[in-house]
Amino acid sequence: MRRDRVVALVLAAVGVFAWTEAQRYGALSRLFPQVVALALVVLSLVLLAESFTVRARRAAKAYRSQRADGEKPDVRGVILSLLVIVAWTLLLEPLGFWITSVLAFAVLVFVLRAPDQRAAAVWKTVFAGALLVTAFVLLFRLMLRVPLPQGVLW
Amino acid sequence: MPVVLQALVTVLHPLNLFLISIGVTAGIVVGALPGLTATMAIALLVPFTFGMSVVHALVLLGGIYCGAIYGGSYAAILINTPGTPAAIATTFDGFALARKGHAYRAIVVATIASSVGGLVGVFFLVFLSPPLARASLRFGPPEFFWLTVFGLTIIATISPKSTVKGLIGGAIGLLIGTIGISPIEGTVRYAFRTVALQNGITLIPALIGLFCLPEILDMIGTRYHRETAIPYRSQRHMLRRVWRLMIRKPWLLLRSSLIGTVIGIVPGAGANIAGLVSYNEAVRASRTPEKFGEGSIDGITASEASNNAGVAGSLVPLLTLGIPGAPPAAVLLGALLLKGMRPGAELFSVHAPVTYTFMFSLVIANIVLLPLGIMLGKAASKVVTGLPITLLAPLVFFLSVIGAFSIQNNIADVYVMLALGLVGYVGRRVGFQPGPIVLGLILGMMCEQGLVQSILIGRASGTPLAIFFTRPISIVLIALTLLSAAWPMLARIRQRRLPEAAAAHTHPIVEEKSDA
Amino acid sequence: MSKNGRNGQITTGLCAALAVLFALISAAEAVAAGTGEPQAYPSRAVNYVIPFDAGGQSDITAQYQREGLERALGVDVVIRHQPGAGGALAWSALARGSADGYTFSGNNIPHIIIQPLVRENAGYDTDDLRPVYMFQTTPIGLAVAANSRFNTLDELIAHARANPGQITVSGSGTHSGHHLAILQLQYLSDTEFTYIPATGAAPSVTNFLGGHTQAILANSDDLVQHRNAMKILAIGTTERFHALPDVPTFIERGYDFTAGIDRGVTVARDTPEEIVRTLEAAFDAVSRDRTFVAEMQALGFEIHQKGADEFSAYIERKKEEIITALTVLGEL
Repeated sequence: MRRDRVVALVLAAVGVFAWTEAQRYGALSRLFPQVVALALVVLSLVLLAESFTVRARRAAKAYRSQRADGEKPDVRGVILSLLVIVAWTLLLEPLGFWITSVLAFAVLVFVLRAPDQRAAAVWKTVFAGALLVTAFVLLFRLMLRVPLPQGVLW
Repeated sequence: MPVVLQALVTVLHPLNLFLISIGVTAGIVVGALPGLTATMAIALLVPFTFGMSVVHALVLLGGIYCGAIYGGSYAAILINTPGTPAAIATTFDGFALARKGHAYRAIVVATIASSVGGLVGVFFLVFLSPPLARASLRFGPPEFFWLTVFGLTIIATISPKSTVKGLIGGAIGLLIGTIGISPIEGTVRYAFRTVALQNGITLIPALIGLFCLPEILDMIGTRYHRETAIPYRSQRHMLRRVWRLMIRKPWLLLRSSLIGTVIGIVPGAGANIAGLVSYNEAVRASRTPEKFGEGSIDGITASEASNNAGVAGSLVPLLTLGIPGAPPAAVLLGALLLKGMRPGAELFSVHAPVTYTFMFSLVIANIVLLPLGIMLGKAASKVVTGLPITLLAPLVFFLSVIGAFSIQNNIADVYVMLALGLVGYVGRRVGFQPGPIVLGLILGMMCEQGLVQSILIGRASGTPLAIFFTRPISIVLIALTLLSAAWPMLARIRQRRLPEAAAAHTHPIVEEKSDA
Repeated sequence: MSKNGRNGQITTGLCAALAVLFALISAAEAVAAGTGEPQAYPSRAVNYVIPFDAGGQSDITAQYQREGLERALGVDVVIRHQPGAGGALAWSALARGSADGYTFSGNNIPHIIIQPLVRENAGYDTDDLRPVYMFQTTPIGLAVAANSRFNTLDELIAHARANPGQITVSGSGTHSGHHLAILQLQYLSDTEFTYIPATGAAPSVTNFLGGHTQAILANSDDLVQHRNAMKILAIGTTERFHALPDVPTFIERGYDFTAGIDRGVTVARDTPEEIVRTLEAAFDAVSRDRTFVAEMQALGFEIHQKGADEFSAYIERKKEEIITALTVLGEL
């Protein structure tokens, strides 16, 4: 499969990098990572070789036809959700744990809603989310004494 | 034995029974939430037990320990994320079963297995602690090295689709594990001058990221809506039904519990890998290995019986030698010392009443685990399978974030969780499973330490390599490793020889479908 | 129309609900954080950060101190664990955090001094932290197994001198107190040992008790706990150690060095003077409590009552000592 070839080359590169980076460490700090890096390179090359076999080609063909038949994954939904999730994580510290979580939760609910879903149901979910987030934040803050970041807001 | 009787009476005191039940319940809840671990739960509760009598404190903490390791199976089954690292192997079949609509059944299996495993573990703790603890000390650096090498052969079992990809995943996990300060020379490796990376990649955030995030994104991508796709199925007499299925394979239950106890006893190995080793053995011993990973109750049994047996196992070296077998046991050691109880011979003479009460409390904990687990498990599976994806996906991510943060109160861990989550998602798209990566991460540190310590010790003795190949336990482990590595071939030969047997052996789930 | 109206209602209701939630959170924050007005320190719970794992020496001490501290400070004391990178993770967080005295952290010597010296970027500098109080030390002792053929330090040293590198010594960590001790012993006795570092005190003791190393450098509390399984040859104190009176010191045996791990607490450098003094007084009260002293001593700890100034001077002295030692030993 072409995918596997790309993956194999990327991972082999990672292995080579790990090997060269380890070159400047002491003998006993270098040994283990270099052995693993070597294994990674070798295994990647095996994967590369495997992708050229007849069996792999047949599997790739089957995979493509299967994908054409089956449902298409919701690429747009995944990408949008990923953006929300990344923003969620990065804003936790500067903005504050609670407010970021409540807002990002709400945005994600909107991203995920089905086209035919009624607005009332969506708002209900947003509300439930806010409630759950608040409950957990309070639990962690007050009972478990976890110092969740407060940020400029909360 | 008046001391033992006295301890038995003490443990049956209503207040103690109450404390044990509270402990188990709290432990289950903590264990079920990804990111909250048994270690953390016990550490959090130690201050509260300061004012309690030593017996009350210990029975409470013991209950939490048992409950938390068991509770890890909920998240494993319901959202494909081990609630504690010990439950990794539970995800393989537990989640598969849940996706077929049998979440509750999976939890019942996990509950029974945990209870039985826990009881077997306690049996060894009560009757065989001193000899077992002495034996555990024979595990030195070379044995740890070979144990981890043996552990790596599990990869072949847990990545049936592509062994090469599984091995690559394992190598990546091992490499990730080398980030941070090296065990021998104190060199900072692969940290690129970032303070956060000097600490290395912490297991729990990595675990949450690799398992949880891909699951959430898949949930979103395929929009599978469990409620509509597969309705929650409840059955009457589920407990009895499942028990009847499980008792048909007593050897599986017993073997898994034994593996868990033994690996739990080895200091430092802990319950984390007990479940995986036991799962591996279950697959290899099975006549229908291809059913594993598709929702086999045997897979859940193997993992859960073993990790709960490991709880008592980890207490063996703790109580007899003062050496904690696992991180939660280390916190328990602190609690014991705070109460003026020094582990070792004193614990079985001067403090014998307390010690035996504690041991019996673990028996009770594993018994009350059954009704409590069934109850909480039913509620949890009903709620989680009933949640719409619009609520479930954000909620699971929120829990991942808060869990990753709370492990060390460190925001960097949340970034690690996200980064590895993305790696895990891309990996899954191109055919890599999180299991081998996490296995590599868990074993990496232990493996490297065993390797370099052995080299140092070998050099000191003048024969650098002999140390790896001349010690009895090492030789056994090497043999097991070779056997394990050669297994796929042997299995193929056996499969060819027994086609009728394999065909005749129908899977329990299929069998049971009629009355679902 | 009716649908929009309903949505409007829901939106309004939701806004109201969010407002209530917000009020709830702020109230909780207010409880946790005080009312925001500058008040006499401390007006809310303080965080006592342990830079190591739960169950270790620092943690046990903190658990013992907690009640007394709460009495002295009049607020809750919350013990948190932030292990990692040999303590550096917690210390860099403390150095970067707010210097309001509501978060203080365990201070372990020599770790806190060595880390910034041997690492390119440990995330903090020893001077970023203000020492508050030092309350205990675990001297480091050298021991061999109970059935070992060595009975005295001299016998062990003589063998090590004749067979360089043949004696294996278990210890906890690289660039740690144990590592420093073995380097000093090797230097002063002109011998060579093979040091086998483990990731903590517990695994190091395990390696030794299992017979995988011939000797061990261990903290006094571990020595006290496992004394029946070993022969303790020497200990790194200036005078004989109270809990092990039969054990000679290294100095007595002619090797002029002490070894131990000192534990205290520290705050961020810019913490106001009066807050440092308040904390100092609280720790002083705890450390002079008779039961605390007796219980800690029984576990094998040496108790100190070093206030902020004395502790600062001590750290300065230690720092110079360590820099000299590491330079001589070729580690710097």
